[in-house]
Amino acid sequence: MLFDETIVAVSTPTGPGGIGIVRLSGSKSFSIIDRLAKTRNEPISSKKSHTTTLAKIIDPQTDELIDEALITIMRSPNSYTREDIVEINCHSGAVPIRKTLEAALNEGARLAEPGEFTHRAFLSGRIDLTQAQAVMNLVQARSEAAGRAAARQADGHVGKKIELLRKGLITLAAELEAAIDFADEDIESISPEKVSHALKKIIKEIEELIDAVSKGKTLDRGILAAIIGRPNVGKSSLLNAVLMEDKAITSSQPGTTRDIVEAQVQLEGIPVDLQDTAGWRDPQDDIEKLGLEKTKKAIAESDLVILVLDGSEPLAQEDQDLLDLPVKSQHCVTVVNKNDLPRKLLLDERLSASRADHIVSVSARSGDGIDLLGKTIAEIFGFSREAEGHEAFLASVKQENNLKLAKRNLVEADEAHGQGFGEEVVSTLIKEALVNLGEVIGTEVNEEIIKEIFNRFCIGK
Amino acid sequence: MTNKKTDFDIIVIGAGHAGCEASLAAARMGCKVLLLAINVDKIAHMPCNPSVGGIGKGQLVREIDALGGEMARNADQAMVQIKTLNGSKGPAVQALRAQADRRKYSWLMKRSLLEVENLTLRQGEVLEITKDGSAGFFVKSSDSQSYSARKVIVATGTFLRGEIVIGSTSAPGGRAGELPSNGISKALKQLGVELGRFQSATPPRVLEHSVDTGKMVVQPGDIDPVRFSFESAKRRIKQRQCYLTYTGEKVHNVIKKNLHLSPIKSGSVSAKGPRYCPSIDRKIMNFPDRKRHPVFVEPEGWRNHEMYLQGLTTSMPIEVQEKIINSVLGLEKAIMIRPGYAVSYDYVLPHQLKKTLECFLRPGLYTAGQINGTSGYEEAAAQGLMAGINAALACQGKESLVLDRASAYIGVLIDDLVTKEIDEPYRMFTSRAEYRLLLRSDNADLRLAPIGHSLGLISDERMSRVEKKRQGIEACIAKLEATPVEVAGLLDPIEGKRARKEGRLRAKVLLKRPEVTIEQLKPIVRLGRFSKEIRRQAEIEIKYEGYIKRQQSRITAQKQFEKMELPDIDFKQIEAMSSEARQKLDQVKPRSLGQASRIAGVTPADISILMIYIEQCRKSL
Ligand SMILES: Nc1nc2c(ncn2[C@@H]2O[C@H](COP(=O)(O)OP(=O)(O)OP(=O)(O)O)[C@@H](O)[C@H]2O)c(=O)[nH]1
Ligand SMILES: [Mg+2]
Repeated sequence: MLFDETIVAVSTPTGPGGIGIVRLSGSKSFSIIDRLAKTRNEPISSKKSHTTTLAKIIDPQTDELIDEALITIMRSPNSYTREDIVEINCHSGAVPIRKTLEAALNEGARLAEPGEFTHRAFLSGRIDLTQAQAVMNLVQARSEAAGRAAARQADGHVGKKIELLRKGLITLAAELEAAIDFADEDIESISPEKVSHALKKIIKEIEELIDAVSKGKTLDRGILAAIIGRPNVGKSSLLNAVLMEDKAITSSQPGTTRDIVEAQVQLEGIPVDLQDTAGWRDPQDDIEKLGLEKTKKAIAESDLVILVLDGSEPLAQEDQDLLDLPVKSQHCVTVVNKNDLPRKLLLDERLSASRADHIVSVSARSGDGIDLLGKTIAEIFGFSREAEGHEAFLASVKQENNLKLAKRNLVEADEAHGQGFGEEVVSTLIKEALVNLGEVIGTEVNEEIIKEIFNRFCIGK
Repeated sequence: MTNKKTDFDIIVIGAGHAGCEASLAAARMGCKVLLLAINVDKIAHMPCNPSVGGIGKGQLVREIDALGGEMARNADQAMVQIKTLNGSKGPAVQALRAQADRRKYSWLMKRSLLEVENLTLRQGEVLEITKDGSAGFFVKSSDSQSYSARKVIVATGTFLRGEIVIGSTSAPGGRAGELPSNGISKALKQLGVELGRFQSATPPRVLEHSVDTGKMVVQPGDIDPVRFSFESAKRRIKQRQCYLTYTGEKVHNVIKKNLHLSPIKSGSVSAKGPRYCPSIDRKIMNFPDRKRHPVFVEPEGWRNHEMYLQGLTTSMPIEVQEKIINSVLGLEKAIMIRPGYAVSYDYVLPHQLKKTLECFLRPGLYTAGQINGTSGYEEAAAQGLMAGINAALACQGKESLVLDRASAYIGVLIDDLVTKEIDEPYRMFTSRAEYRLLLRSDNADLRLAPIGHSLGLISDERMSRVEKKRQGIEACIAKLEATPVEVAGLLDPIEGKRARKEGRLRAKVLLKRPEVTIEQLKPIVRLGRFSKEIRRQAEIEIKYEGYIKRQQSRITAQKQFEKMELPDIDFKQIEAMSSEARQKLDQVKPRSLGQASRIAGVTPADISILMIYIEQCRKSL
């Protein structure tokens, strides 16, 4: 958003084995491509506008060959954003795309926010408002998908580690800040040795994490699907039917499932992470209350909501509540279960479009309709799966990039500390690392730190 | 349109720290000002500790001085003790704190008010504030006087529907011994201003000669004291001592035994109070493992015979307060003069304000000081100054003055107030300022005096002194940049071996090393012609240079953002934005894109959309 920054993004979804374009825009685009692209003679940046060159892409930090790619340059102002643009066509799949992107980030580009290219194009007068608005609506959907991907990630292994690292840094910053802002209070200030020790420890942990993240790159994530419904409609039975194994406990007693049961399955070749949830009803005890919270969270993070209804019973209030549950941008499938029994369920024709589009009648007991359910899901995601995968992919690049930026700031903090700079400098750098890790703005970090100070120290004269 | 004649340009209601700065600034800028004080014997009164400054707050005082405000000068004259806090830490976080003589502070301020042309001081309790068509406001006082003015600044501190709690009794009161103001709460509500409720508290005071200071640790002032005002003379002064003692098991037992009587337990003090100023009861509840808590025993003036017990804030019943006091080492025989108390009061939810401190809803109506949910005299004075300046600028048809987060703590203060959700009385900490390395106490004049000068609040002579200082610093840095120095001559003999290999380095490069000081370089580089103050400024600039540069680039980017003003937008209408963002934006009503970006819950994607939206508005004009 800040125009002196050069942004980078992958502009087509990264399907398995597909082609993706890494696109740079901004004043540093050309100098970055000159560092990344090995050419025989003159550098890419000296080429004419709108020419395409075949070149080897290398990682300037390791000299490792990443890919052979077609590179197109477009000079300002004759480009989409009216800035210098470079497009790198990687042709051998997701891994080189990711590496190219990472190399560009290492050279000083910033990962573009959803819609940022369009945004620049609009502000420079390249496209008109109606065009921009159309794109912005897509951007909104994308940033919601990105939000879900990020939330999922925050919950994942790496996300949790990052949260721990942040906590450690908040504690350290709180110690330093307390020593500054409450120096006239009776608080014990942290020793320089401890600061140095804490910093080194966290730097090491970040390094390990970066290593783990870059080694275990999982580009293909499944679609996250939450199975919801009131108790006893057969959610767990449905999960088992889809999996073709008895993964979840089922019984005729309402309230059988109390915690989330997860399983992975391929539906028509699409990986899906299924989450069976506790029955939706007014919680009867604390455990159910927790269960309900988890269900809500699962719904919020999912890409797909599978709402199960019991076809052998009339519509209950809870069913109606769930049918009315606002779903933002998730896809929905409504499953009418127990079709081996006489149908008593009448569905209101006022069902919202998102609900009415995909209604599947099944029997978890006999297995009838389960195939159709799989096909329906595959159909829904046939078009947008790539986009969801794309967000997950970008989220993980971002995560890794954030870790690297944080590490850089912390190394600098440690150096400053070693040279004898005071708390005010060391803490400033730690705060920057916190901003990197948390993707929040500085003032929010300050609030977090102040809160931690009051938790840790007895402040107040 | 000001066809209609009004009695005054500006009426300031309340003569506390905010009200005084507001009326002085506005009058000095040439406006006709009426200052209404509920009690002219309590001008710039300090109902809590008579201390000025502190870490974060001291920076504010310096900034007030650099802009031409009064607080620093007043504190310099009224102090009984002064010291530099964080003296052993980096210059960015050093700050001054003074203990003042409460009565002297008050009458000095009164004198300044009376000396200024264009300013009328009048005692009177305000009952009504009403809008007077488009021309301005009517203000009515309890003695049936009615005044009109084009702008009104309300600076009534904790007086709005104030309620004082001691033990199980609670009674209406703005401060101990003073009646609250109920009329203004009502008047503000009628003008459409939304109010919230906060709470604050103060410790008991004891008779000076009943304190056994022999059992306490002496806390002297600085031997070579610095002053708040850049203009105050630097002569030696007489100072008083403060003392430090501690609570112990005995005190804690008394409190534990009587906790059921504590208003915080019984719930009679329920409004939100500050985390940074907990009562002793709360400290013992929240930190049961602490064996002792410090108690600073501080004089309230030269001759007022009362000592302030910093650290013993409580609103327990009076008998319990006495028991607590008498269980503290050195206070066994102390005689309590005034009990501690808690006060809860209405405040204006500050998100209703523009950064000029004018109410969005009621152009011409400003609020400043504790009424806006802050705590502390310094925060109040800073707001008063800005409200006074802006009301005056508005009267004169000139462009308003808003300081941004990168130019002053005052900017941080006001931006936080109007942008953030404030859930306790707001106090300044240095950690709230993201550009802390730049916003130093020592360079406040360099940062802000040009602004004060352009407003007419800083004299030409003073401005030329600041300008000379700036040039001196530049010349000094240039000299350091240009002069090569033999490294070996500087470092200690043990390190000499390594140093000799380094040969000659530019003095500036050497000075970047933490172990090298400018005073060491002074004879070698011949810096004698620069004053000590200038040398120190040069040194600070050079030592922080790398870090300041990093901040500077962020500031430039942020400034671009800050410049993009948001027109009056119905944020709820922007459908492409997430509903959370729409709601938050609608609540805060940011005036610039920069401010919008600091609202929790507003994502970069939302900002993108907002930018497109502004552009759309601009083009359709
Ligand atoms: N006839 C028939 N019974 C079914 C079918 N699916 C599930 N049931 C029965 O319905 C009862 C509830 O099934 P579960 O799968 O445990 O239901 P649930 O929705 O997971 O229930 P909770 O975990 O309690 O919320 C069991 O007795 C199942 O055998 C079906 O398709 N047909
Ligand atoms: Mg179940």
